[in-house]
Amino acid sequence: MPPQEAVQVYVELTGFATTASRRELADYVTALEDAGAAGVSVSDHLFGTSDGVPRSESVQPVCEPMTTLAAVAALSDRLGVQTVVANTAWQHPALLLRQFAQLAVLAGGERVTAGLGAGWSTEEFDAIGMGMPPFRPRMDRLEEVLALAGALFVDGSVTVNGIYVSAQDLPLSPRPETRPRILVGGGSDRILRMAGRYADILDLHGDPQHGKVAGATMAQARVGDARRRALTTVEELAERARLVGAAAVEAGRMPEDVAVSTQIIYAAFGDSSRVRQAERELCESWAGIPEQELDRSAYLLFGEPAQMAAALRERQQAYGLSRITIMAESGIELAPPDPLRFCREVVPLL
Amino acid sequence: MTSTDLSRLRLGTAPDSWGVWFAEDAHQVGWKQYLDDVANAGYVWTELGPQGFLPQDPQQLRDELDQRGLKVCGGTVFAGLHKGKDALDKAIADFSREARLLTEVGAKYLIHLPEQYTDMHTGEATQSGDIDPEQWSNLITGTNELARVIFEEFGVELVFHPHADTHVDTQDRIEQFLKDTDPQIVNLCLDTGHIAYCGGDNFQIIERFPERITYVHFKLVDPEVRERVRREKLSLAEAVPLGIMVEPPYGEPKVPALLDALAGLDRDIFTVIEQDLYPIASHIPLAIQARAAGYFTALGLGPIRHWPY
Repeated sequence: MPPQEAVQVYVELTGFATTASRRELADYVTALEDAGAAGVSVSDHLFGTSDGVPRSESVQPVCEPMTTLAAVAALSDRLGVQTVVANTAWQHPALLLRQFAQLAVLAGGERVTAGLGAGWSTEEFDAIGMGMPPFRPRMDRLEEVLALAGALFVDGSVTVNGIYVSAQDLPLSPRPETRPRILVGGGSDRILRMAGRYADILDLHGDPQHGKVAGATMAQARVGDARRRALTTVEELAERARLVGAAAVEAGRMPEDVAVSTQIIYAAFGDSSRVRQAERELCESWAGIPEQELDRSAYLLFGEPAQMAAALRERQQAYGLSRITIMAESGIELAPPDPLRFCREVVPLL
Repeated sequence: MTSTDLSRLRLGTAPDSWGVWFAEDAHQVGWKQYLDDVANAGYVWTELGPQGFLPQDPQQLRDELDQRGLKVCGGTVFAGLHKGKDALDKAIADFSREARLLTEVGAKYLIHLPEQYTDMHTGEATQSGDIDPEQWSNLITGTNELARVIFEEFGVELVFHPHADTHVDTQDRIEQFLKDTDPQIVNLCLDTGHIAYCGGDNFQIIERFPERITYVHFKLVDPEVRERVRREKLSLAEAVPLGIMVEPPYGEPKVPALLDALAGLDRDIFTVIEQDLYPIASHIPLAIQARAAGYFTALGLGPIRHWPY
């Protein structure tokens, strides 16, 4: 009987890569490999902003994802590289998909996860003069993008005439031996259905029953997302994952064809007093909710490394969790997230 | 996920899952690491392990358990009651010592392991695997008497543990043992792995003797290794390093079905995870038992603490 594969631990790299020189990135890649990380993950934003401050004063630079992943793929023989997720709204998706194809040539397709998204920040759309379409057309377009990506990577060429995306005899070029995995991120019913139909991996967000994720600014949207994640329990995510499996079956696939990944926003190590302090800070500074126990949140881990390993095994059983991305910034002051420590202490137990 | 209500099954672990077979041994973890690991993985209930493994002073034992938020569900002692009067006298002394310690930490189950006819280190035969009628009679009357003594003196219940390489190993022998012993006083520690290892059917035993299933050792057998054991006529001591016992959910019997059958008894039953691992590197068991804790939590079996102690 083959043992179940251990949960893969990816580490969020966006903040670090924003200012890292080649040498700094090389050292960090080595440290991640030594610590047992399975890969690195980057998000895709034009910039970051904070609330209540004019953009000219609050803009935070962020890294460009595809260049960053190419560098990591070249510096490491082993680490996987993923976007969670690349914004496909700003260009013809073929241009982005061939960047992933080139990464797959360079690193091997099994190391590359093409996380594809629709964009959600009006500030970014506005900044490049595009204006952000409403939710539904963004989702409709993403569905066309996913269909195109699947056809292109699997069949090697594609002809489609969609409402948003068209291609005529578009060949896959370059042509990697193994195609990249396709990842979709989100928590809405619509995204779950799309993942069931098209994705190899779903990066599962919080349960929509815990409030809206929307707002005029990045900061407002992040508060909604954090609240949702803080309140979403392991049991609730198991329910959400069942919808994905059902959607996969409906599309003629198997439920296990769609792997599940989630972010781990924060792993609070230590004894119960440290853990409770972290919990208080997470309620206040991250989730913006009244103080409460968060130990059933599917996006947090608490306690000793063995308890974290047990919690991940529980999630693996409950909703097929196969990959996590350890975030490197949580907004809490007590102790910043420590992805290297997490890898060193928890990965050997998985 | 299983849909059965498992709330009356209480999850525990035991030193056996850390590869501990002896009170002291160079190839085992020490008792401090054992207790630390158990607590760190989030378990609440533990057994005492081989007699003499954990501290024998009641106050020290209570302190060490309290510091880590642990509770004791049972203890284990070997006895060769088929050998007659002297063996029974020795067993009454050994079991009384353990029963006294169990009462000091609030536990009420004492697991009676029959003596192996193979050496636990080398696997060599130390006596015949056959048992004659007189020896069987000694075993039955001795077990009844031993159980009566420790219950009357200490209020501790004896649960008999069928075991590979002993005279109560196969399903036939187990059923005969249950028919012959006093059901008022002698009940069963169902060790699912030993029963599966010896070719028995756990589900049949649960179905035929539901009132006798008082305590469970949750152990899982790799059927491929079992085939090799049969082919090469290996002893348990030789089978364990080959990986005969595996971590859940692998192996036999199938975990969800077994939990369903046990939950169907609708009684408070300790289900203690065991995985024979002797000898093992000291860092391996924690990882296995942490994963097991998470797996069982997902199935709805507990208690497992999400919080550190």
